[in-house]
Amino acid sequence: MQRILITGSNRGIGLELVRRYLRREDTLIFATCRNPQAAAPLQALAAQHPHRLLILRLEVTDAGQIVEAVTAVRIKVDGLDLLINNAGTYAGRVGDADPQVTQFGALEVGPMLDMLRVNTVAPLMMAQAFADLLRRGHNPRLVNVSSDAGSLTMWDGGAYTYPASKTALNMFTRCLAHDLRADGITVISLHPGFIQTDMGGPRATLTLDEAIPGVIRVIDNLAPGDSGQFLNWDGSRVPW
Amino acid sequence: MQRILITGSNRGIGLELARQYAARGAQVFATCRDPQSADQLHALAQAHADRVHLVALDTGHPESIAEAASTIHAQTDGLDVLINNAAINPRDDRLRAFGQLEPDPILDVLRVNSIGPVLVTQAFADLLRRGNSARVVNISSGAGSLEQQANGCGYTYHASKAALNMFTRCLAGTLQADGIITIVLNPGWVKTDMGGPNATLEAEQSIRGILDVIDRLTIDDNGAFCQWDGKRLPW
Repeated sequence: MQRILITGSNRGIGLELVRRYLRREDTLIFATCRNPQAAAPLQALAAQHPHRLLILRLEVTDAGQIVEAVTAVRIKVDGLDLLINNAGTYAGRVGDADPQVTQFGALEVGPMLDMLRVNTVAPLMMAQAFADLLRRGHNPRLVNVSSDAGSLTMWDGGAYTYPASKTALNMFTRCLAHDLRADGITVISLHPGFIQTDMGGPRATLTLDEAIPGVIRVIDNLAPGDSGQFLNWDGSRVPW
Repeated sequence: MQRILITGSNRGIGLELARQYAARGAQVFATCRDPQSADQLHALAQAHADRVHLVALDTGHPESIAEAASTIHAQTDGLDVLINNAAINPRDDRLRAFGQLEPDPILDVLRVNSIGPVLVTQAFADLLRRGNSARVVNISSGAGSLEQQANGCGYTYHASKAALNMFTRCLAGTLQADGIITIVLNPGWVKTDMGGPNATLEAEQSIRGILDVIDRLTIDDNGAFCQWDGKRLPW
């Protein structure tokens, strides 16, 4: 039985990951999102798989809710095998985001910090809070969903805060990989592809059906030597 | 006469930058959070009364940036070099020790080290556009190189500099159309309050190298991660 926790699982990449992991018979999934009441597709899945899918309320920037989520998971399992830090924000859709975080001349510290809080700091806090459960997991993995927008090498005109939030997340992945290596926890940053979701918008190049099986294959194939790396959904490395 | 704006110039690298630019005849807007207590900067300003101006600027606060911008707009119609040097690296386990990390202290560092330089550049962009071959230099650190952190890192300071590197890439893209060259620069491990006594470089040597790097910048360097001795660093 693989025990998996996925944040931001009410839609987009998170929801598709839940769906696909549920197709395996031997998984127990903790699917978190800010507002479970409003997450109809997730609720429908939970109704079909009441013993293998648990929905937890979790605003990842809320330290108290993280503690509650840890407690809720501990009631069910004594270890966690996979934590996917997927929750993230673009403050709008790619190509049509809030100018306060994307546009030179309109940048503002408050909205920029809000984005860093969600995309960069929250995954670190999740890793810290679930580290004990991961240490007791089987072949434990920690996957930070990043983006090639955060690649300094590949930069091609990206829009300030979102790319910077992912670059900083990648640095946390580096730090975590080192600190958790002795516990046997493999930590990576993963670029899931530019996918047609609410965030990616219609100009995105991939469908969920194309990209998410690749994401799952990459996670399945992770070896300890991959820890600290930035991997693409097709298994290749993304340059820093 | 070159017109230079330096943040965090009350001590360390910023102070030495102000000294060396003043010594070669530049007009220096030397900013820091609290000019009142910046004794060495006052001495420098006294020695170059007509060319070194002390201005209060707390890069973590937009109101302070706006006030400094209005003060400096009244004194010059252009800027040739902006050096975003101000940064913090508090010795606090809530920033660097896994198990004790806390969001708010982490975000305070990101506010100053990563976002501050972007907001300062934004506030002075019009003066830079009217400068002569204007340059924006964001002081980063080898700690911000992802490539170089295979053996562990201290979380917040490292991430703040990695984020600054990405913001610099973005600024370089935005400002290129105005003929402004933007880089991130690693000053080396310098003997300052932040660098500590074990550091390998004297401030005088590092800053002499930095001025030389800035003088020689070309459009090919735009958006690059440079080092005080002219070398490039990997991302």
